[in-house]
Amino acid sequence: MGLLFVGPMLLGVIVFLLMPLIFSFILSFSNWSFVTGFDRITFNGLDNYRQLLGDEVFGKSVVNNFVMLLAVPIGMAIALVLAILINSRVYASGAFKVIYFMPQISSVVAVAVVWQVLFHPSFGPVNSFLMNLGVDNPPRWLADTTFALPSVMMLMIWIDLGVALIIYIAGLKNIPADLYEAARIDGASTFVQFRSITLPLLTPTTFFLLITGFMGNFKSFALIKVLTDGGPANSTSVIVYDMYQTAFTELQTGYASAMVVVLFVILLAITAVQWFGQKYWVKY
Amino acid sequence: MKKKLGSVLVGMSLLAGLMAGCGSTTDNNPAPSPTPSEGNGNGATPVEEVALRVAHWLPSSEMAPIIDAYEKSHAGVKIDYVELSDSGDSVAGMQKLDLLVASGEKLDVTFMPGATDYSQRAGLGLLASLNEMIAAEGIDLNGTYLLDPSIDGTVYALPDTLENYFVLLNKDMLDAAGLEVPTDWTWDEYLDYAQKLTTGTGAAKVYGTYFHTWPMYWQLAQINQMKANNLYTDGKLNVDSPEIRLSLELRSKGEKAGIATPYADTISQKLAYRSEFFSKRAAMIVTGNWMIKEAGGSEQFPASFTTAFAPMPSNGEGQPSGVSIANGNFAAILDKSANKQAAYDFIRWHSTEGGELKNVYTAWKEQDADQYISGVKSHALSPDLIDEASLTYVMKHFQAAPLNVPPAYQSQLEQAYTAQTELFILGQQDLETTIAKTATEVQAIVDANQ
Amino acid sequence: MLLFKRIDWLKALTTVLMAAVGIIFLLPFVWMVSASLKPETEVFNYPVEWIPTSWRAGFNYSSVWFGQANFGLYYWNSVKVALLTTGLSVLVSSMAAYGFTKIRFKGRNGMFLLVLATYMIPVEATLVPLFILFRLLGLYDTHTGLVLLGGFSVLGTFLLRQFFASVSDEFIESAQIDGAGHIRIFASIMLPLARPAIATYAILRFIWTWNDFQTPFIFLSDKARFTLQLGMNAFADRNGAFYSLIMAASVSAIVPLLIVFILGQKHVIEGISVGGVKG
Repeated sequence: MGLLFVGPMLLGVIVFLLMPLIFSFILSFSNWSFVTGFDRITFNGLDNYRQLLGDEVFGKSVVNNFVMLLAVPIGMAIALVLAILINSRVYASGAFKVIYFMPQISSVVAVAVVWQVLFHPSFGPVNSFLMNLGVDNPPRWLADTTFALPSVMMLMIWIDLGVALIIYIAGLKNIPADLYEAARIDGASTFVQFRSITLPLLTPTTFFLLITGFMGNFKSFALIKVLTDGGPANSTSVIVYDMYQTAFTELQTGYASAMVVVLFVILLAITAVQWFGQKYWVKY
Repeated sequence: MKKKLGSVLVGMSLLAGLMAGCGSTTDNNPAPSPTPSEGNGNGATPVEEVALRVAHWLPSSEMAPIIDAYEKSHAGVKIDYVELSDSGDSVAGMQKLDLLVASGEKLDVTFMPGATDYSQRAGLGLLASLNEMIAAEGIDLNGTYLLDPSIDGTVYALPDTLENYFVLLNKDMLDAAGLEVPTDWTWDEYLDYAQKLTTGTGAAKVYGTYFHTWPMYWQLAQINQMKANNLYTDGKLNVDSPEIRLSLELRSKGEKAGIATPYADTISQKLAYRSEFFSKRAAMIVTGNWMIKEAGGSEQFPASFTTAFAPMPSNGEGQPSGVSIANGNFAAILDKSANKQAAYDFIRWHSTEGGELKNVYTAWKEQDADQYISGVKSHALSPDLIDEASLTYVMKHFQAAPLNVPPAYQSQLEQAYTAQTELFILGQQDLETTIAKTATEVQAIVDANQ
Repeated sequence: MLLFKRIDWLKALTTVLMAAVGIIFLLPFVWMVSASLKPETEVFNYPVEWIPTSWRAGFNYSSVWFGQANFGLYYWNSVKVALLTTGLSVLVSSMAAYGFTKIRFKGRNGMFLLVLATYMIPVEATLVPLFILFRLLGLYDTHTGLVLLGGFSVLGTFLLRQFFASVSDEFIESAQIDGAGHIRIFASIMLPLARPAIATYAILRFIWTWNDFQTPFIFLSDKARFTLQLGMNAFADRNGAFYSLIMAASVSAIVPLLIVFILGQKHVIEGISVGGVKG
């Protein structure tokens, strides 16, 4: 009976995700290029992996990915605050949900343009403001090898805020109101209510957002492609971007597959840690 | 759980086996029955109908007249056009091509937008050798085309269009600054012009020149050389060279003097050369001959000033201007094609008469420059805004450097180089370090690919 | 709920502050609308002209809707694909979530971990093998193919699983004692209870499918089957994109998303579970 319910999902996952993964795994030991057809596969053992170890751009990409992960908890915290405010502490909550969700549904091009305008290194409002405050050489944001990655992270937080927001709101709605009622009668302050009712009961939602947030963030590609093309000087290059370039621009399917395998293993480790840690803090 | 995994793996390997068979021989699309007339180059008796599958990234509407013209003048040939991109995007088109070839699609002819793409695919064995058919036709390749497309002695494609480089100038701004259209100049004089053409401040500033983000803009003093005009040519690295040094220095001078659009602006605002030039935010740009048509205005960028043309500057007094590398589209036959002779006839036509028909700048030595220019003007939205005198001068005095087909890993070299030059232009690394690091990395890539 | 006889000042203040910050969140949309009303050469004028100085709205919007590209057809294709994908995904994911939380069977945890593990595979890594597979199966250049690609979402399964897990087991057990089978419990108890979660996920899935460019780009070829995101690409030529037209198309395309969002949120609010969670 259980299989009846989970069957379709399992089947889909095997065909659309597992099969490509195994495909990539096998190919990671080859130096194949997919345009040449299967009759020209040659295998080269662990060469791709050895090359990856020495690949500076790949190394930088891995580091960048880990740094970018910070955007997830920061974004979630902001979303939680907004969710609580919108849920019960403002008027016109419906309108606010739409407003804060707008960057998620607006065209990526529009979002990128607005961001570029706001953060224009010479004339943008942000830098003009900083210069008025007395900062002589404000960062050049997307054109700055130190600040490009933080800029991308800020943009990611901004765009994805809406998603965490509405998921948290759904989670908040799931907490029965009488719990808060009872706590108030017992004299608990708002903060105590938050700490002992809201946070614990939201842990399944938080756990979900954390895991999917980390995974989604680690797999980032589209935004980087539109915004920075991995630059300047590879300072915003991430694993999936490097892999895409290798696979589709340099047509080295084998080498790109090795990157996929490494990505998978890293994510597996991160998720395993989170998954087995859940019994310590997630309350169903 | 284990049993499940087992059956899953078996299923996978079956699938993999299926695909292995699929990739090499399966006919995914029913092929029309052709009778390839191979071997005999010019068969007198027309054979049964041959269907050629031709792939290009131009929208079907643009290719249609060409295809019509060819079919009318070559009885027995039917062309089945495979449109790789509906918006004329060559990069997306190449990606589509790769995917189609990977899944076994039957194609006969394909075009590629540049020497790098050509070299890459030739290196992967996708393209058929044309040596035999050229010998059979009896033509002298170098006498017919401005470019020699051979790679290590084998010709894998014909040069279809010619893309050379020169400078576009806003003539109105030149006149306002009291400057003549240059016919022979050096990079120093170029920067001098840029200085005189820079006006205004703040957001309304007009820069003397704009440099785009492509790799060639970091090699400006190298691409105007007849020899050694790329990072790696003829088995030699050309990184620690006077030409590269000059290229980077002129960029740095332009940036520091505030006469070239700041690189930080270019990348953070994703500026494009067309909008910068046509919206009058930059007075001069180094660009390629596809811009000739656009100088007459396009729907997107109506012309609002006269555009003049100047040859590519030289590196110093006494060296000739108007020399540049020439790139262009390449027309090739797929190695797996079953209609190679018919395909060859088509690409020979397309790269010569076909090009004239389309009024593009071909690599055909017999193309008539005057006819080309008048063709451009007749189709232009604002023909009077193209300065004919300077355009004619530039076209007639152009010297194409012999084509150096780049290695198959050219894009890797360019990426390594650009990563360093970006640090340089943003002031985070000095010249010598940039050159030293580039040399090391480029050498490593070359070594890895031997 | 309590009725306020007078304005709660703290609430009002918070509302004003949130609105001020909210303006920044609206800027991309404002830029989109503004760009769609301008002639192309002015779209990227700097400083940004939020209110257009020249007006070209009529030309832009009519070029989009009545011009060369079959915009109406693309719109319909997008609606079709997004609705079908959302429907399939909600069904498959909710079924799987129920199975993974409320039915005890051997290997349940292992299978869920397997499913979760596949979320770690970026879609870009699957493009080539899936492309080849689709051509093999004849799913290339079909809407069915697109729907299948989007209909088996790990994210959906995981999200709904979290929500289903927080529904008290006693609820299910008492229904079973009453003689109801799993299918009945799933349909008449679980789904209504999980309305906020399902509505939330449905909104997200619809929006993501609607805005997806890469998958239709790779897996569709005949223009008649193009979705909006692909169709918008048509407002470009060799010289680059016509942003004024693309933004006119994007503004037109955002309308269903807003509708879906607002409708969906209503379900989220109304679906407040009534006492079935934690006693």
